[in-house]
Amino acid sequence: MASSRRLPTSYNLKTYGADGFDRDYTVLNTWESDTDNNLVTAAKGEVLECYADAASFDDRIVMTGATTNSSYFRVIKPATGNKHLGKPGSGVTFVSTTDLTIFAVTEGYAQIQDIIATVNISSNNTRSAFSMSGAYNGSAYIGCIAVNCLNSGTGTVYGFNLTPSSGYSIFVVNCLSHNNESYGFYNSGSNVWLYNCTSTNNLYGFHRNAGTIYAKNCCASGNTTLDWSGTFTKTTCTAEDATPTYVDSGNDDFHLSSSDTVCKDNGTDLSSDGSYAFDDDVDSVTHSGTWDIGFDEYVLAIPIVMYYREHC
Amino acid sequence: MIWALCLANNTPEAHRKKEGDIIDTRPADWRWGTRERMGFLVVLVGSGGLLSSQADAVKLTAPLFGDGEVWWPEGEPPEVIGKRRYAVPFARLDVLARAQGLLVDWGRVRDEKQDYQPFLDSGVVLPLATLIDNKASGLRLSLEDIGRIADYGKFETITN
Repeated sequence: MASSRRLPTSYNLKTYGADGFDRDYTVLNTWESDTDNNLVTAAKGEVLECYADAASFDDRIVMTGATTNSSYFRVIKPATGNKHLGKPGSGVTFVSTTDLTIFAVTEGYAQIQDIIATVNISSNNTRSAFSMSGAYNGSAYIGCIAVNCLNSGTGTVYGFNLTPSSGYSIFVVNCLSHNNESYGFYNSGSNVWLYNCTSTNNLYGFHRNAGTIYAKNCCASGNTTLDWSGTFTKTTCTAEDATPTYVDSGNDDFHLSSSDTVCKDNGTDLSSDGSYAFDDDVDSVTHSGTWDIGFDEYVLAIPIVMYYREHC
Repeated sequence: MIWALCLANNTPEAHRKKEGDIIDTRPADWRWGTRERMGFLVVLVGSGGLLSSQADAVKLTAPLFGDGEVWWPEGEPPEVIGKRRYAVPFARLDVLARAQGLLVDWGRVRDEKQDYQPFLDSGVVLPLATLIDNKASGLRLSLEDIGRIADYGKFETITN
């Protein structure tokens, strides 16, 4: 069994956080330029662990140029104990007011894991919280959340903008796109693999502009115009206008409710998937039994009862 | 307004960072990380009425695109042939530093094992005018140029 969150075979580990907290880096671009190297020759990947020192960071990164392969690549992820709780409002969060995509990946095998991002700009350009493009294989967004993206200028903002060149494969796994001005997941190119993603309350949920887009166990609901726009190659995804039951959608909590019947136990086991095998969800919970659709695997909350025995 | 420009040291490969490349821009009172203090040179520049926000100042971190784009296009980006389009030559910094009575040990600046930030720690503020090179044209940026750069993406489609 494999986690959806991959790490290089061997790697250098650096830290990122707010200024004044004695981290290695306070700016994503400085880490990016420091690690824009030939990682294959060095036989070392690069991992940046982010600390939620601040409620949010106004920062952004373009990951491009490093020489990578499936063993040695670059990863950005929260440090232990700094991961979000599967909904906005916790964990490592980026809110950018700059006319740029926050996380732009044009590099092979890069992974962005468990990050929350919001673009809030006034621009004539189309930007996104997360993007991947170009002739690069194997890059992935895992457990990421794009939320409340807004462009008050003449341009717009997507949650995820996925445009690989023809013949290349990129992956988006266990991600949520919620309440964004335009597309939750915009897909144009071959091949995009969307696994166990959820798209809610955007203008469009999942949109295919061109190319071969594979969607497995994906959930879309409450998107203004369409949940699904264009032709996808789907495996056990929710239907148009589906109405899953979430824990507390009014407060951006799209974990599945115990009463849900749309997503619970209606998915496909991807633990032996030929393209990207994994067995965990947005909360790093291992799927059990029949998989659920969407970024969350429902687990029964078990109350913990503690007994104290007093000394006599 | 005073900005901190974070400048790169050199790497050998053509498309990677080169000495003086403007990697990032932050407010003057930014407290840089430990690796940033060792691996980069931070200089303070007074921008006057220009670059009034972080969103404006970050335009100085544009890469050198192969097709001449000046800022990130909204679609798939063109080939990046240089890590950055704009740079501050260390030789020019040395002249400006000496003019303000600051002697810089450039060997220590280039030694990425040393926490040595002569400009930042002395508080010397340099003038923005004619400080920055445009690597695409080979010319220095005038204040008028910088004003135009700050406006990229706001009012017009970027096509040049």
